[in-house]
Amino acid sequence: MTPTSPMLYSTRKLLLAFALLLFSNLGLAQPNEIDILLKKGDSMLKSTPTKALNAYQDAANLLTDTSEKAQKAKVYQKLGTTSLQIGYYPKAITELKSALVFYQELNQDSMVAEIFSDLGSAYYFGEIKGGNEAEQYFQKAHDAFQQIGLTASAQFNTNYLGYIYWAKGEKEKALKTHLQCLAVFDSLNNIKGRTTCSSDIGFTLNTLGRYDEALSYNLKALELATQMEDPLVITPILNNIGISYLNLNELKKAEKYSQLSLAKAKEISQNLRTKEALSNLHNVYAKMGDYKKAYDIHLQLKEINDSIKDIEAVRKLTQRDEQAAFSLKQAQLKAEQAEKDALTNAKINQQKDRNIALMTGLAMLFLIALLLILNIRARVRNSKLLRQKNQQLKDNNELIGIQNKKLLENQNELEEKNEELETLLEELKQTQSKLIQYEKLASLGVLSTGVAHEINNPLNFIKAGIYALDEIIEALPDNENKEITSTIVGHINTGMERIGYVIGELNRFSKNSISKELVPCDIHQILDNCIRVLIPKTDDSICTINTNFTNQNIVITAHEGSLHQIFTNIIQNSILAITQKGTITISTKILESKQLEIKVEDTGCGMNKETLQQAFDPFYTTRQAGSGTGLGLYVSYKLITSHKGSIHLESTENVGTVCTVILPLN
Amino acid sequence: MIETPPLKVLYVDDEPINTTLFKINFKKHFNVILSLSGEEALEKLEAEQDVDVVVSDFRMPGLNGVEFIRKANEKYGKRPSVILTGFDTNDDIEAAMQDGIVNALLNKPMNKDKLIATVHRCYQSYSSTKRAIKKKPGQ
Repeated sequence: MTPTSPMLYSTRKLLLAFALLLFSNLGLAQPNEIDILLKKGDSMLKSTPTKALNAYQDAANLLTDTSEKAQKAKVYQKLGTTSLQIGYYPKAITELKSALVFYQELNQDSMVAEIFSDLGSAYYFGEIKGGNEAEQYFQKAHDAFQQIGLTASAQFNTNYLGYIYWAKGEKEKALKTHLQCLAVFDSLNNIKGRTTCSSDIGFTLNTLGRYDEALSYNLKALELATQMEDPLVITPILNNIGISYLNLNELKKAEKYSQLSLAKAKEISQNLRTKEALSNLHNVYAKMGDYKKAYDIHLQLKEINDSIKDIEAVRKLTQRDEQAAFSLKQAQLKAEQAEKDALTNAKINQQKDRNIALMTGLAMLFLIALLLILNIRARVRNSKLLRQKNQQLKDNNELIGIQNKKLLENQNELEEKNEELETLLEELKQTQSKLIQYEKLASLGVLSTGVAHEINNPLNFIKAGIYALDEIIEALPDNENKEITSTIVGHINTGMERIGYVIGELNRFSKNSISKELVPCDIHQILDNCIRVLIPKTDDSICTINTNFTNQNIVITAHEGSLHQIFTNIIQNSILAITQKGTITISTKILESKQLEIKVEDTGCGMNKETLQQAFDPFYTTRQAGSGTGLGLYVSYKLITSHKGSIHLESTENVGTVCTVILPLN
Repeated sequence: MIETPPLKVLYVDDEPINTTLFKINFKKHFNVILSLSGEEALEKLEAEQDVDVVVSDFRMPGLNGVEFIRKANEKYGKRPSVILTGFDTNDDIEAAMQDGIVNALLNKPMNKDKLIATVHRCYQSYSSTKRAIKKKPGQ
């Protein structure tokens, strides 16, 4: 042995110690760097969560097998919760599960419970595995919180179960869950819990169609939420109230609350909440029939829908990219680690396992290449899918645009139809009232012909009796008694004659007396005749009669006597209406509808509404008893309608009356 | 101057008041015979075929005025007839007037002077036609 060998040995030892020291120094530097990265991430978490995630990811990359469990747990938890916050749900699940293992090993029960809850959320929001996993994790979180005495936190997790039931369509079960939670929160006097549960119950009841109950829960939730002053909580509650009112048909209130919700949603830039509020507002206006406003809201809704779809598409794309990059990085990391290990082994074992190490390295490289290819392929596929989805969205939008246009057209059409219907209804009402009037008059016509005989016969007794009495009186000696008896018989005769006149008037228009002798009648000549007959009965110091006849010669086929009777009656009424100075204007005109219009206008006393309504009623008269039969207009009406014409009265008290008669020309 | 005997008038009406008053009013002008129905009037005509003018109500139980006059004309030969009715007119009367079965229509309540004049007018126009027909064969 050479003396150098112990020296060499000691040198080797020294070198080893140095290397160890160096190594241990490196090992000490690691946690510091990780802590710095975590702090860096924490500071960016609120403003730019994706950058925070990158920082946490960098920290995770520095972790080694020798890192402390607590640190590993912390890093993975941060990665998990941040991914959950951003919406990278599969990544959140992976990271949270890693954190969970470490916390379980460390027996940190409160953290375990938190992570159970977060895992539940990740599964629920990621809609992964149909909600079963989410349900299990929320249940586990509840149990874990309960065990360590955090009742409120436990209860929140139970409440989350309600969301899952609702999403599965088990609405009644969801309602029951929320109600139970509310009871617990009430007993704990936990305002946040009470608010959340009341709002959840309100929402669920709305979807169950129990709007009255929903309203009371939502109003309660609003009251509690107002105490908390959290717009994130208030916004959906306001909209829920809007939905309840909409379905309870209190549209004004529904509009108010939906508008409030919309304002809050816009204030906190929550697209989803804005969409909900707009959607309800649209329904409110549609139900109100205010289609213009509804359409405006629809346009806003479309805009927000488009932007939400964009955000979701981008988010999904980035999520996939991130995942792919992450997997790649891990694979690289593992490959490097493996290579390092292989090299170390090779150094220790000299050449023994060199070949194996090389092989392993090559295999790893191959794996990387494979992963890269897979990754690229996946990306290509994704972008293709995205393009297709985009096209579909565009098509759908166009379709909605077309449908909207059609809807507006239909609406216009409906409005027109509505107007038409209203006009028809008005016409129908007028026809109905005419029919009633006609029916009334017609039945009297039938009655009068039947009754005439029954009255005329006894009248004949009286008349014949009077004749007989006259002769007897004639033979009496001239004295006072003879005179009195003669006067009395004279009065009886007057009464008899008046009855006879009324019966005669009634009979005159009966079917048999007017259906005959249709002859050509010169209407101007007939009107002139009527005026000539009436002038002797007119006080010409107050009443002037003017005519304004058309130049055309008008001859219609009619019953001449009837025409005389009609216009005598009408003109006579006008003459009687003029008690102070006034004029009567009689005019004729040929209408475009090939009809003859005869107008008798006077500036007389006119009629009030009541009189006007009864003007055509038989025996209705405003004249003194005995001076009018009340049959003039009734008979005129009957005669005009039997000539297929119509008569119309317009009158204003103390202004005058216009009577319009329309007769067919042929 | 020979005084012409009064015309023999058969008055038919189902109302006794009418017939009674008719007789009172017209006994000075006509030789009045009364019947309360068409059926009874036919029997009267059987017995007294020299009735000059028939005046009949229209609406009566049994035969109405027009039906009675038709039957009477068929059985006992044509004679001037007047309908005195409370109705204005109707299809039966119109048809009978067209056929010349009824020669005049009078309304109730009746007018005494008008009735006397109508009965005379109907009788005269009838008898002049009759004379004209009678003359024919002997020409």
